[in-house]
Amino acid sequence: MDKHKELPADIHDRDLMAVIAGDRPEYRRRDAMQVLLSRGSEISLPVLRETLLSQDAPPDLRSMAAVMLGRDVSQERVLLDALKVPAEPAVLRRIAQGLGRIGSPEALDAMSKVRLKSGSRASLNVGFARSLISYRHGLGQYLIPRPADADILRFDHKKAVSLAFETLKPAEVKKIMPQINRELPAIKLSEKAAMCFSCLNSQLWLLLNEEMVGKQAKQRATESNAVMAVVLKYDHCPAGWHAFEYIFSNPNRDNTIDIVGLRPSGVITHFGQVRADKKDAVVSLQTVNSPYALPMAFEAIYNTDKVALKVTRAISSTGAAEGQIRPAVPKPA
Amino acid sequence: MASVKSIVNCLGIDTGGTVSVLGDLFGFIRRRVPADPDGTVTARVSVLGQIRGVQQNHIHVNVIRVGFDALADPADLDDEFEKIDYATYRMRNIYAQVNLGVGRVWHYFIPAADADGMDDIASGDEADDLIAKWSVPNVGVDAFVVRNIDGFLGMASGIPGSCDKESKEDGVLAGDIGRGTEGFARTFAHEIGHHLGLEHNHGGRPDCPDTLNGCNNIMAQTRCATSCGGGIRAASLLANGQGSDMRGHCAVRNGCDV
Repeated sequence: MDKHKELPADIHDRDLMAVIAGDRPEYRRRDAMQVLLSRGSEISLPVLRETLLSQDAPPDLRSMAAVMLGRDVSQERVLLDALKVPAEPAVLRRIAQGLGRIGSPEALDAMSKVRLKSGSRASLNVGFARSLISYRHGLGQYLIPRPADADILRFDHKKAVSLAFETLKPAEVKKIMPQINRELPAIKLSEKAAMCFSCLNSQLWLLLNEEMVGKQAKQRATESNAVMAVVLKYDHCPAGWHAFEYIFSNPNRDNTIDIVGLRPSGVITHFGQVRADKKDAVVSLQTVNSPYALPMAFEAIYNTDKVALKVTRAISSTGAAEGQIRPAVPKPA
Repeated sequence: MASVKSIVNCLGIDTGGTVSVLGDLFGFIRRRVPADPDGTVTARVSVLGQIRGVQQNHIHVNVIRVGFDALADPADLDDEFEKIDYATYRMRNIYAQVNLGVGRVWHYFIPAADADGMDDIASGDEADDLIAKWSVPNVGVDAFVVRNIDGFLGMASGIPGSCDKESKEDGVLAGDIGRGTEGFARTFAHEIGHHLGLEHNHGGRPDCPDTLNGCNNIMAQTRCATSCGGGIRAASLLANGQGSDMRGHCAVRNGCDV
């Protein structure tokens, strides 16, 4: 029954590449690529490029190649070229996600030609990828709209629990910076004013974009759209950090800034505002209705001079709020 | 000795109609004992052993297949079902080492059209989304098996996982069905081990345990099982302390008193 056994741990990279490039069954080529990628071997780049650009390569392999190339800022050109090669929607989605992560403004034009079923998760992913490029570069395009008031979750604060936020020392953040840079290669996050908190049993870190730290911060935040911060989640298995939520900012004319939290899929999960005065910025954030986030209310003061974030109130509901979209139920087999 | 019917009743399975020992008591989709991938070994199950398993602390599991209707070769479906049954069989044997039974194993599916891309997982945030978006409203641990995962083998949303089925940490991404049977089964038991509160028994990459027993523990990462352990099949040990931790989890049911 077992079509294939695990590849031996000591198999050489060159042998893996030969399997991927050869005419072995797809599952075997896929396994070989998985092993090669898990080693993070740079030797894999030519094989990944060739796989992604080949119309004849199996879609799962091309998707895998797109995911990996989309973590390397030097590979934008390959992803752009790949958009010109006919591909399944699943592959296009991965290419677009990669471009969202690493792409320059040039990628926006190329991505405008990607057509996916409207309303599908893939089209949501591609839309988010466009927004991510635009917000990273402050282009003012593909803006995430303010959610309707009715979509902001209200919950019984008496039944809420406090979320404990702690300030992280820059040295602690610096320690994981290489991992963060791999996860977010085109966003420079600051080691200052970083906070950690726990939600259920997950460890989360809130890191500000470097652009939001220092003298230029107020100008950057009030004059153009930006990626203001990123929430990272630590996974024990696989061990490492991944982007859990992006906080985008939309400046208003009245000296306030709307902030929108989005999952990397593109689903909006939080919405709030920043009210700025001379030194301090008062931040508030609430949960937007979706099955992906617990209802919460967050308030903080950001001192731009001292580059210090002080959380004044952070509470979360222990369960879903009334009217919150509940998890879907799979069909019994 | 308790009757099979009383045990099945205790597991919350409707005994009004036909009851299949292999389907209902053991939770095998194919209602047959799965073949052992090592062709020289015959997989065996014991009704008495399973009764004893649920007379002690045990867990229920919801196996949720995601997007299997989009598999490249649907003719392989029976093989894939057998792979899931083998994972159930292995998990039961692995957890039995620490006196933790695996009771009811119910099966669910999410068609590719409903999964809307979540049958193909490429990052931790996508796994989080899958676990948060879908949930079976019962006391079982939700174990999602997807069509494809890129770059990693499985994921636990929280350690320990939550028993609140509306929380965002109430399940695990138990593996992708494209893997080899033995590796898939090991990941399945490993991820549910995380859900029940077990951490890895070593530090992060490149660390591995410094003893052979450690490398052969089910909570060692697969790369350790293959580098310093006896391989994926052998790396299935659990220590008594780990068993205590697992049995203390909120998903663990008291033994059936029948």
